[in-house]
Amino acid sequence: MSNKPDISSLLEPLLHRLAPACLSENFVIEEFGRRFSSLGWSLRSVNLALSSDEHAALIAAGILNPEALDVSGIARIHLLIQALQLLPTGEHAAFIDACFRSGDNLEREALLRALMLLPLPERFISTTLDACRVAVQTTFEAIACENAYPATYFGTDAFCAMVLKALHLGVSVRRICGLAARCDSNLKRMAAAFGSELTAAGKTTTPDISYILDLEETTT
Amino acid sequence: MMIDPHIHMTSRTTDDYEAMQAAGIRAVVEPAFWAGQSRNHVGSFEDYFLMLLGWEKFRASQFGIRHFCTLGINPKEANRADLVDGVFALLRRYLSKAGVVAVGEIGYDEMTSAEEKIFGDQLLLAREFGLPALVHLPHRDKVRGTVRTIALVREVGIPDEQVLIDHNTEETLPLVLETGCWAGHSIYPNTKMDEKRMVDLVKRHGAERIMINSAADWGISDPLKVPKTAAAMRDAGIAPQQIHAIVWENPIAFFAQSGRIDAAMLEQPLQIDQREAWEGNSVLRGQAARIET
Repeated sequence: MSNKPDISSLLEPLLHRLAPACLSENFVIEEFGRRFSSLGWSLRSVNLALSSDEHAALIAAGILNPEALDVSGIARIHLLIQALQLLPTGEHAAFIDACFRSGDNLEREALLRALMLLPLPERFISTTLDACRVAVQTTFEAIACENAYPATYFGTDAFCAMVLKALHLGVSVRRICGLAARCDSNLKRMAAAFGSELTAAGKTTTPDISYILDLEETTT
Repeated sequence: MMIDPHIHMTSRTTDDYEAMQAAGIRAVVEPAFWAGQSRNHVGSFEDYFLMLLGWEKFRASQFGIRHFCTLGINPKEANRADLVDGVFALLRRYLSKAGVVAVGEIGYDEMTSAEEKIFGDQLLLAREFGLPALVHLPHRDKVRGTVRTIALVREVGIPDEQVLIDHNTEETLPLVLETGCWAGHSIYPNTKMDEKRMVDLVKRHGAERIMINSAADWGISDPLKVPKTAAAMRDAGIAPQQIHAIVWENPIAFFAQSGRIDAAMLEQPLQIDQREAWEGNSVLRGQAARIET
C-alpha cells in the first residue's frame, strides 16, 4: 500500500481547477451512491482540458488512458479513493462489487480504471472477471485496455480469455498492457484457432492474430 | 411448416411473430439465456422463467405460433457463485412444467472451472428429469469448446441422442456428427453462420441430425432466418425431403424426447383469438382482433 503514488495530491488540484464544486470537505460515506451517480450530470458541461504535465502525471499515477475519462470520470476516481479511506478494510471488496453492479456504463468504466490506484487491488478480482463478461465494448475496454490490472492480477486462463474476447470484438490487442509478457503457448493456440475459424468461414483474418503469433512465447 | 428451435422471443416484437407465422413458422423453442447484462438476484431468474412459461407462451399463441422453452443457467452466469445454487434450486421446481422441452441453454463460455461444474450438474439434471439438453458452444475457442463439451457429455453419461449442440461452424460440425448428438446452427446476419455457408454444409454433410435456428435476440438478428435459409437450400437444389427434415422433423424428433411435444400436436393449426387475455392483458392496442378458428 505504501508504494502507491499519492493520487489524491494529483487529483484534488486538478478537480479544484476543473470542477471545484465536486470537492466536498464534509464527504460522508452515506452520500457516496448519490454523489457517484450525479457527477455525470452535474459535470456534463465541464470540458477536460489537461495540461501536458497533468496528462503525464495521470499516466505516471496509473491512469494510463486519461483520454478515456471525462471530468466526471476523474471525479469518480477521486470519490472512490475517498470512500475506501472511510470504509473499514474488510468492506472494500463488497463495496467495489456493489458499486460495479449498480453502476451505469460510465460509472463502471471510471471504477475499472481506478482499480490500480486503490489499496490491495487483488481483492477486486471477482468484480474484474465479471467486468470482462459485459457486452458493452467501452466497459470491456476499461478493464482490458490501457489498464495494468489484468496483466498484474489475472490468472493465465482469465487473461487469455480476455485477449481472445478483444480479438473477437476487434479491439486492438496492442492496447492490452503486459500482453507480450503474458503471451504463452495457450494464447497462441487460441489466436491460431480463431484465425483458422475465420478462414474456414471464408472470412479474412485480422493483423492482431499475426501480432500475437509473432510474440515471443513466455512460460508460466 | 417450420420450427425455429432456438429464438429469444421475449426480446422481439409482435411484428416478428406475425412475419414468422406468415413465413410458415408454426412453433418456436425459446431457451433461457443471458439478459445482455448480468442479473444480480435469484428472483430475477424466477420471474424470467415464469415469463417464458406464461406471458410469452400466450403472446406467441395470439399469432398462431406454439411456444416452448428450455430452462437452465446460461454459461456466462454460471460464473456467478452467489447465484448458481439458488437458480439450480429453481430449476428443480420449474423443469417439470409442461412448456419445458429441454434443459438449456447450458455449456461453456470461457471454459472456467465454475462453468464446467454447472454445465455437468445441469446435464445430470436433464438426465434426472428425463429431458434432453440444449448445449451452447462457446463463441471463442470453439473447437476446443466442442471437444470439451463432447467429453463432458460422455463423462456425465447422458445419451448422445438427448443432446443438441448448437452454434456449429464448418470446424465443429464434423466433430459433433462423429457422435450421436444433434447439431444446431444459428444463422446470423453477420456472425456465427450464414445461409450460403449453411447450404454448403448441408451439401457436404446431409440432413441427418442437422437443425437450423435464428437465435434471434435483442441484438442485430433476424427471426426469419429459418425460412430464409430453407429458401436458400431450395434455390441451391437441396432435396425438399432434406429441407423438411432440417426445419421440421429433426427439431420435433429431438424435443419430443421430453414427452411434451410431438408432430401430431404441431401439425394441428393453432386457433387464433386475439380477444383472449393473459392475466387481464391483451396483445391488442386498439386494433380489430384477429380470429382464426
